[in-house]
Order: sequence, then C-alpha cells, then structure tokens
Amino acid sequence: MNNNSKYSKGDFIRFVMATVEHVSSDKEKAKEFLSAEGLNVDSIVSDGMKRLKRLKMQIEAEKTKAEMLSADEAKQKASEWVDDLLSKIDFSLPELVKEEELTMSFRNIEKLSQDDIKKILVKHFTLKFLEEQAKSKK
Amino acid sequence: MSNQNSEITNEEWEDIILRLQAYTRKLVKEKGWFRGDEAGVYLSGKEIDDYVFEAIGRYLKNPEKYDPSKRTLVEYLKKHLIRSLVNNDLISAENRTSSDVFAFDNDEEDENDSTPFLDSILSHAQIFFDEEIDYKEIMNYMESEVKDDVDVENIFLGLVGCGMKRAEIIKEFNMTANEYDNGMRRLITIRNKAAKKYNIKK
Repeated sequence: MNNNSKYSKGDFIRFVMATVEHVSSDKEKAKEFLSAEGLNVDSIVSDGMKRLKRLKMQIEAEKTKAEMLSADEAKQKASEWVDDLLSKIDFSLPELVKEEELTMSFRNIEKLSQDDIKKILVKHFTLKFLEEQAKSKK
Repeated sequence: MSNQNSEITNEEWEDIILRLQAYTRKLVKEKGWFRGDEAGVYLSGKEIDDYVFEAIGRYLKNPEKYDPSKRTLVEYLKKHLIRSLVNNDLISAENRTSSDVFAFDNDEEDENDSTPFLDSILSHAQIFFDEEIDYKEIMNYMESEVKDDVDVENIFLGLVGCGMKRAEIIKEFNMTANEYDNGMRRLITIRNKAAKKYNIKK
C-alpha cells in the first residue's frame, strides 16, 4: 500500500462518483451513454413512460383504498363515540350542539327522533375524526 | 423543474427517466459486486429499471418530502437510488466487497440534508468500494497520466483536489462546456486504463 500520497480512498470515490454524475448530468449525455451501451434510447423512454403511468395508477389506487379504510375506521369510531355519549345520564343535546358548534335550530332538535340524533352525530363526528386524521398526517 | 408530481410534464419525466437510467447503469458498472456478466440483472433478480422506478415511486407516494430549495428532483431521486443499492448490498452479505461497517439509516435519514449533492452521497457510496484496493497508488498513477493534457489535468484537480462542480471548473479554468465534456471523456478513459493496470474488477 502506498502511503506517500496526498490522495485518499475518499478522493478516489469522489472522482468515481463525479464520473457517474457526468453521464447523467443532462438528457443528452444520458442518451449518449445509454446508446454507447448498446441500448435503444427510444425504447427506454417509451417503456419508462408506460411503467410510470402504471406506477401512478397503482399509487392512486393505494391512496383511494387507504382513504376508504380510513373513512370506515372514522365512522366506526364515531358510532362508538356517539353510543357512549347518548348512554350518559347527563347527556344534553342542546349543550352538545353548542359545544360542537353544530348548525341546528332548537325547533328542529325537538322534532328529532333518537335515530335521527344518532345519524346526525355520527356524521358530524366521522367528519371531525377524518379532519383530525388529515391534520395529524401533515 | 416543478416540485409537485402532478405538475411534472411528460417531457420532464422523459428527462428524469433517461438520466436515472444512465446514472444507475453507470453506477452498477463501476462496482465489482454485482453478480453475473449482465449489468442489468443482479441481486435477487432486481434490474436497473426496478431501482429507477422504486425511487420514482417513493417520490410519487410522498411528493411533499422533496424540498426543491435543497436540491433538484433528479438529485433527490439519485439519493434514493444510492440508498436502495447500498441497502441491497448490505442485505446480501455474501455480495459485499467492502469491510466498512455502515449503519443504514431509515428512509427519512437525510431529507433535511442540504449539503451539495456529491458530498451528500459520499458516505453512502463508500460501501461500494473495496478496502483492499490501493487507491493512493491509483490516484498517483492518474495524476501522472493527466499531466500532458491541460484540460484533463484541470478537471482532475478541480474534481478531486478542490471538490468543484462542473460549472465551477468551467469558470475557474476558463473552459467551454464542450472542452469540459471532451476532457471528462478523456479522463474517464485514463481511469479505465488505471482500472485495467491495477486489475480492478468491473
């Protein structure tokens, strides 16, 4: 091993990585390199664009599935939450409406059945939980 | 180039795909660790395309993780490529040619890294290189070989000695872009000659 040198392994690596960088520093150099490797540049582009399209569709499908799962989970959580709320002895719908800033008139509240109240509250809390999930992901 | 994938045009994607293909292929060619004679197939049947689209897929899934104020999208994707290749190399212990102990960090490891691209990948790239090779001797040989060609010598010194980028070398040594590119080609030829002389596996 030669120790009388101003160069190190790191210098060599830097140099090699700079040459790797060079062949891909712009589109024309990339084409030149790939052609010199005996590859069909047009095929690389067309096959690549097809694969990109498939990849985008796959990712969109995964996102949609995740969103649906997330919505189902939020609905389930909201339903359990509302059941728990309604079972409390001191539950007061007018107070909850005020607390949660629900837009309902008192005249409507009086006419609502227990099922109607549950549906409205489940819908409200589902949206609330979904909003919270979205915020926490950011 | 735009920073949201929905805004990237087909023409921009073509540019990205070609550059990543060239980068990965060249990177793999520089290493002695992949299996077989075909550069396209190695490590558990993965191909160059797979690495390229794995990197693109990571970006498409989480475009918000890319910060265009820190580096270009192509550089960002190249970092993912390097990390995937290194990771695969580490997973396949029998394929390792380096004795470096490299703790591979998680996906988020250096998203906030804003150092110049080449500097930011050197620690990842180290794992590619065999400890047993006498790099100092090779560099000394190259230094002696570039001395008769002013442009090549300037590029060599700029890249290695000063860690300069292409644009900086062109400016510092008052070259044209063509002179740089041609000089770089001659420098790569010298490097290949050195690889042959010192019997470096390709």
